[in-house]
Amino acid sequence: MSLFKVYGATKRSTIMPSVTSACSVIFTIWIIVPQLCLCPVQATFGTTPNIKHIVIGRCFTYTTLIQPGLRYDCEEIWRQFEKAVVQQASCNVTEEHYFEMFSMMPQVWPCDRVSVETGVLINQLLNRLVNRGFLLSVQFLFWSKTRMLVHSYAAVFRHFWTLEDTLVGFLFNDLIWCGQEEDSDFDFNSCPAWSTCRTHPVYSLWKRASQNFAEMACGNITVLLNGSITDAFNRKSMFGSVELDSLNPQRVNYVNIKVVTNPEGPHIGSCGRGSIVELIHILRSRGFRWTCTNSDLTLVMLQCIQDLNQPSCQMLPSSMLQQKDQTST
Amino acid sequence: MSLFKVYGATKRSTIMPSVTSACSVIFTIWIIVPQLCLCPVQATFGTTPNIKHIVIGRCFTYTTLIQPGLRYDCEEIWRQFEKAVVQQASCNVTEEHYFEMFSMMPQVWPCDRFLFWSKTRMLVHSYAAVFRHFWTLEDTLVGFLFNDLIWCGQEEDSDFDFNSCPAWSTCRTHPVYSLWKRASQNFAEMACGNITVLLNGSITDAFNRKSMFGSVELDSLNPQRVNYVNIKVVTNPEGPHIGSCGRGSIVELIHILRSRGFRWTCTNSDLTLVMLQCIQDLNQPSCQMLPSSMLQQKDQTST
Repeated sequence: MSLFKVYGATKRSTIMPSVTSACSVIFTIWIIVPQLCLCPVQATFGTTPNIKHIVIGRCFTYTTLIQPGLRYDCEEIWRQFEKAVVQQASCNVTEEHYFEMFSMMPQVWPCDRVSVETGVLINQLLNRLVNRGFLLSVQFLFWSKTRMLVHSYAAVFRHFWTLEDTLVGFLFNDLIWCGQEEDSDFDFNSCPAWSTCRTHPVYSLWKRASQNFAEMACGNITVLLNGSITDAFNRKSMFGSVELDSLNPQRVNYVNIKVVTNPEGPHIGSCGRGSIVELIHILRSRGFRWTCTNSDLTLVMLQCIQDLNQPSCQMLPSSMLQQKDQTST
Repeated sequence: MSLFKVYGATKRSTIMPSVTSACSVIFTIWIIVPQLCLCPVQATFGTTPNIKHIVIGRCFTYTTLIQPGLRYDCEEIWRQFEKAVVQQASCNVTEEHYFEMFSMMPQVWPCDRFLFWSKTRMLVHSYAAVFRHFWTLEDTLVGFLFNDLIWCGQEEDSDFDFNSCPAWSTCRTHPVYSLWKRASQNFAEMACGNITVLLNGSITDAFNRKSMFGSVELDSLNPQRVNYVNIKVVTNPEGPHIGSCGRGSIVELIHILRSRGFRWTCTNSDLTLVMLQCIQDLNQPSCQMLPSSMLQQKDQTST
């Protein structure tokens, strides 16, 4: 699932101090700093500034560099998005309003197991493309409350596909938007909070995108849940309220649940305890095959990498911990 | 260092087949695929299509989401870039032509985070995705804007040449090379504190005087600003094991560092990098040292 992307909650949000500017002139001439501003991320979250440039730029990046071979009309996608948002009161944008926009962004995903309904000819074509390296066999990756880890995980294992790898996810990740009451424009000053709005413009888009993504999911899918919080599986989360119900047992082979806990703890939920038990129950009752892993080795190693001093990494042989083969004096 | 970014050499370049479109209608109504093309990445590399939208969009993304608090004039940066490229013959763009553009993109970096690399592109970007405190050239504004793009002007027109761009070998002052050369030099001059260099021990010339690292960045490092140069040699788990701290071209690098007064360390099997490689394939020999207790998986399964 994708959480509502909060403005500014990105991988590398650091603020450069202006105080160093004076000293920098000494070192390199090209450091001429005309306008520096010690402003933090803006406190009232309105529509993301420059949203049009960002979305259209991302669209061209996606279609030119990330998924060349598919043609999307980036300017038209923007126009449909803008229309869906600004022509309504700021708190009254439903999934249906985005229908035109979504119809312009179809995507098809290969699975690690191609469904029989597509027919023999399609199977052959897809397999041929996979063998020639034109297609990657991808694995759908869902997640809930494990955002940072999931994106490290997906950066290391490039065959995983999250919602943020789809065109719509890529376009709108980390952005905020809403219309105004009177004007036909975005409201850049402030947007309604989720709680005040049943049909919030941002929520409606992600709800629709998540549902589409889950409906397309096929083959073996992976779900990353956070065992260090209460309600690792939360019926109110996007995963629990939209994606889970949209998974199709005919398309999905196995649902592989991986529970990740903070190495320092707490250890609240696990495959056998807490809300995840409820998730397994739902999967079983809907006829899904599933597995559940508490300490997936890969994920444990990924966490160890970031801090070798953690207790869970002590199992590594001390021979591995010898570093610094050579040093200067 | 940053290698010349080849058009299309990105993380996720996959091609979607058009034939599935008919069958897809069965599954979901919104799968309407108007134009699909089984074209591979284009064979003649001209200027990246839609380059203006991409660069300006990336600039706004950077200044709005990635480094808010700094103000850059994205439209002006684009204008200066375009001017530098199209007003010259396609093969005659020097670093000086980019001076205006670079002067609009000053940046300061905290120390101890600089990460240089040579011929280790995929691993470096996994590494930086896991260790978010590292800064590569691609994390600077200029690196972020132009990563993976190609550009050149035309002989007569005042526009980009979208059909084809000169090959590196035909061009001493290649528009793409000049920009990366200048960006790499600026980046290396700013480097301070403990810096890390990732080199590839599975190729000949892990340290290559002709690479961007060997020809530009190394010479631009400042012994007064840099504390330690930490070299990490990474080899392919299946081999070959050609270079190492004590053998091959890396010895030459250490010699140069020593003669220029740098403090340095060199590590052959950095645990973190070994683990990063193991993660991607647990069956590799170098991962066999992990206790078998760690290899027990699948705590619970359905029948």
